[in-house]
Amino acid sequence: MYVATQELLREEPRLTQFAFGRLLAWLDDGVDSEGETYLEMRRRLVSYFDRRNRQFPDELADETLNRIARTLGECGAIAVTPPARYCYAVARFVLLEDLRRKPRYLPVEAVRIEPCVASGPASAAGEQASIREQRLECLDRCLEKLKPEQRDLAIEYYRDAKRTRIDRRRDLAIRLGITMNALGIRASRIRGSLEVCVDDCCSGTERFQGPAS
Amino acid sequence: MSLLRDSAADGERLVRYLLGFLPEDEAERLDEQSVVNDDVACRLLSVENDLVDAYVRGTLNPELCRRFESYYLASPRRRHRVRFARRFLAAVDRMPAKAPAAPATLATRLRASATSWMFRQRKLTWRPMAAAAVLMLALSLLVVQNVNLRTGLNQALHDSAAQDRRAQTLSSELDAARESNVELARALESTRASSTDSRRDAAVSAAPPAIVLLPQTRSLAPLPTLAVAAVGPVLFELRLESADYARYRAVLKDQEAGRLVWESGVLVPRSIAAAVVPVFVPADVLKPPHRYAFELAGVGAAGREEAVGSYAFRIDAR
Repeated sequence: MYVATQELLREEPRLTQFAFGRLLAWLDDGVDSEGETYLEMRRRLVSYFDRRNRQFPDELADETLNRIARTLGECGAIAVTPPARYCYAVARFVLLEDLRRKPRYLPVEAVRIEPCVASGPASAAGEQASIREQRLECLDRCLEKLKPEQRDLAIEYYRDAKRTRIDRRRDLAIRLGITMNALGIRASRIRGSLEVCVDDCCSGTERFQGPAS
Repeated sequence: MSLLRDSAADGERLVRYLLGFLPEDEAERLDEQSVVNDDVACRLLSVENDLVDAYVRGTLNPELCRRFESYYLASPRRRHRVRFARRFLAAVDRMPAKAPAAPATLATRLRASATSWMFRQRKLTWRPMAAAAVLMLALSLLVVQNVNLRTGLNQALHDSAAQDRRAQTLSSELDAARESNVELARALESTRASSTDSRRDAAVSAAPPAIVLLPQTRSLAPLPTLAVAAVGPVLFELRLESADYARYRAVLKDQEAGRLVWESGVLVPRSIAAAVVPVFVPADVLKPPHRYAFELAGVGAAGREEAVGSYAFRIDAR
């Protein structure tokens, strides 16, 4: 059995440190975000490719950013502003190329397995239970790493459903003195950082950086 | 694009976008906005989280739920998000609700700035740093305490002044009430004295007699001629042919001038058997020599009045 792989899609060599720094600076557009803008742009591009049902959205997002970095290296500057608009233009080309591209295959054994898989000769059910337990542990650890006010906000924001949830959020926004929209953005960032933290924890590369508050 | 102007409508539109319901051109516009526009990108993320949560909590309507499963869950990455949401929401529901802190107060800002200052000074050795931290904390606490004390003192002074003003007002009101009471007591005393004199005089003189008037008839009987006192009420007794009403009303007319000079309130017959209606008329109404006549009307149950008799008389010089 064969499946398409991420590695086969990578056509260009990785960026040098210098080229990557130049890309970060261009994305920041004069305001040093310490890499936050890059991470946010990558997240948006991954989501874009994923919504377009591409099989490897992460690879396509990286491909997009690599092409922009190469253009910066060749031309020295990109006139299109804001940088996000140019990113989308390049991403669209990458998407069209990917749609035309014939899928390439590798044996299924070579495909990277999902993180958080328990090792050892356990039965399938036991293995699944072990994975779930490990993920829950990771989630608890990541929640503990949040700042107390961020943890409280996330709990309060995502608790309940429907009307109760809406009322709770309205009260929360009033208490914090911010709009519902701003509250939603803040909560989404906290949740996003948790998701990344849990993934890292499960893949054994645990690092945690809370969202900028 | 109206995106983010109407939160509810745009939320619904974004849900349709996420579930692949939008036409291609509209979906492409949102594709672009989701990368280029910060507000749209953040809102989309927020709406997607809520959509996933609604699916996990089972609150999506059946149509959206079917679409979610057939379209949204087609992507491994999105299935991964749903799995995360399951665990995350379970963890959130397990945890006790605790309201996040409101915006920082003066005290917390001072403490925060002290912490920030200490952070900047971390290259110093720990002893002076610790001393500085303690000093800074003590200073900030003192400042906070000072501010609190000043605020409290000002409030106390303000309250005290307000209470003084209130006391003065009450004192003035009390003095005025006392003066008024004294005047009332004097007036009461004077009234009691004059009342005693009146009762004594009344006991000495005879009570004024009632003037009995008969209803006018078509006969050529002479007009009754009366002489009344110049002051005090004059009592008339108007005889009825039959006592048909429980209440009456009378008016007094100056027959020479042809005008109404007085009118009574509601009059009640002395008794049903006697068929007499007593009427007190102020003496100063009756100017001699003059011809007057009482017009008596019975008052019905509905308040309608009906003439029952006329009583003419003449007043001569007193």
